Amino acid sequence: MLDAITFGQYVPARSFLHGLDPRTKVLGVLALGGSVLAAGSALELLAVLAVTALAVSASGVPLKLYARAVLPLKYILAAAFVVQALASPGGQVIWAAGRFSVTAGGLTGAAFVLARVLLLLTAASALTFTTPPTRVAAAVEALLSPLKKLGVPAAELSLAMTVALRFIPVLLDEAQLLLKAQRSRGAGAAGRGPVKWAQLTVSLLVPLIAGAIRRAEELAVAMESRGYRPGAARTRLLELKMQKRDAAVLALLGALFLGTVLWGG
Amino acid sequence: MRRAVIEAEDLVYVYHPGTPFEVRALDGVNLRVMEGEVLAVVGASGSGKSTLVQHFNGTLLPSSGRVRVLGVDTRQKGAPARLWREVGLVFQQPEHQLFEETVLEDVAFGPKNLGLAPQKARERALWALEAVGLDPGEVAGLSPYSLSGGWRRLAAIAGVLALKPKVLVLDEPAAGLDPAGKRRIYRLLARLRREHGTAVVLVTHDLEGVLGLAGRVAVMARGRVTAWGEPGEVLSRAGELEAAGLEVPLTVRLLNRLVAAGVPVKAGALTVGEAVRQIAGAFGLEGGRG
Repeated sequence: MLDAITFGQYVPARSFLHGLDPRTKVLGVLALGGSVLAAGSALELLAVLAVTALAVSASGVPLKLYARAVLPLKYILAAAFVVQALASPGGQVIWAAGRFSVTAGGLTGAAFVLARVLLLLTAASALTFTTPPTRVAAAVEALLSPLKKLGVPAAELSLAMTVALRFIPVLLDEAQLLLKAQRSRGAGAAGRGPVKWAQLTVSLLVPLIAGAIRRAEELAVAMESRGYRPGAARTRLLELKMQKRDAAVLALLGALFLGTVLWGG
Repeated sequence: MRRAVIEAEDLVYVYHPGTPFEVRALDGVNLRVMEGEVLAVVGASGSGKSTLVQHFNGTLLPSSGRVRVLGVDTRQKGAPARLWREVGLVFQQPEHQLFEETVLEDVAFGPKNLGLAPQKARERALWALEAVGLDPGEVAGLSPYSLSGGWRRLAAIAGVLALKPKVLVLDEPAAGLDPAGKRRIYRLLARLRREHGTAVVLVTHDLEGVLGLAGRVAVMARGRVTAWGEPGEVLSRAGELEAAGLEVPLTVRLLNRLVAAGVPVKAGALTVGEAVRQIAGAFGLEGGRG
């Protein structure tokens, strides 16, 4: 139910994608995401799909994990597909019942929406599967640093992001343990219904929040005792370094993005 | 002959099968917990102890092999939904799992889920608080978060004890407590077994601490049970304990060296006093004192 391996989890491995500079990957995901949204025709979407498939195969992460990242959303995606198919008219009527009708145009539109969402999720997963949260945050900080002159606290934003990303799996693990512990005391055992559901939720949320606060305090003490000062200049253990292949990847994705934007106006 | 209350046969459990995170946490465990006994499961971190005991109330179900609790296969349909009534499982650091506004309400949470009337559940909670050695008059109305760590742990154990389970399973119940707190927990478990006949399974890496308490010890390493038997018996097999990453008590190491040197002592002494008597006897001295 609350599996720790989900969207956003880093999968250690050696692959082309793992070896790229995190800035390349963040920019790449933005470009790929932009292409997904800009692609107006089936042909463009196919081109985006091909590049995404390339990224997936270069990530060294089993397809099964990509499926797991998407699968929890299956009902939402199915609902979106149905609504889109019913709501967007146009073209030949395939099926009709009273006020509702499914048209060829509606089906195509729904397929486009579904494909777009799946491509976006896959692209984002390719980033998070191959890049530890700290590296993602470092990349975001580096990419935002030109804005420091305008007063954007890039380092603090990046730290907040690191901490948030880092603690998602921790809190999921903790929630899972709490669920087991409260079930072992019979939570949710005696019947169902909104009251029982609320009880189970409270029995999870109270200790979960208390735990999060405890962890936050510990983290603050640990950081301060190792000399962290907000706003102070810091160096990194792992310097970011662009290589030739980063340039190649950026060129490919940049071309894809420009192509989808300019194609067909 | 006493009955087995929990039986594990060729139990295998794999976390995250089919992913790069796959871990074979249990690799063919065979183990029995007998009626009314205290069984200590000892082993280093990551040896599979916690995974094993989570099978005892159906929280985890075997990847292969099987677990029977009071004769019922845990994979039988609907079994996990009932087993929490029979097997009380106290997870690690249970003091972080309290959530009600008062200690009394928290301890009464389980009994209420059993379907007891509010008054009965309250009585059960008061009984459990007393059983773990807390004064209900003092703590019942307090917020769990206002108690000290050690007391909060006791309150959490009371929350499981209040189910009056036939088997009580505790995962590292004394970890992180001061020596007095540890002794309090171990005395409590001994009394539960004595007065209520509750079978107790105790997961710990503190082998020395549970010697006086456990009737049997099972040593785990890398997902398997590598040694088991009465404490004295297990202690005399120091090699296997060290291979399992456990610290062998000083007295046992001394006795083992003496055995190796040809001195006629028995290696499996549980206490310092017993070791002294053994050594004094072997050297023809008047022993057992000083």
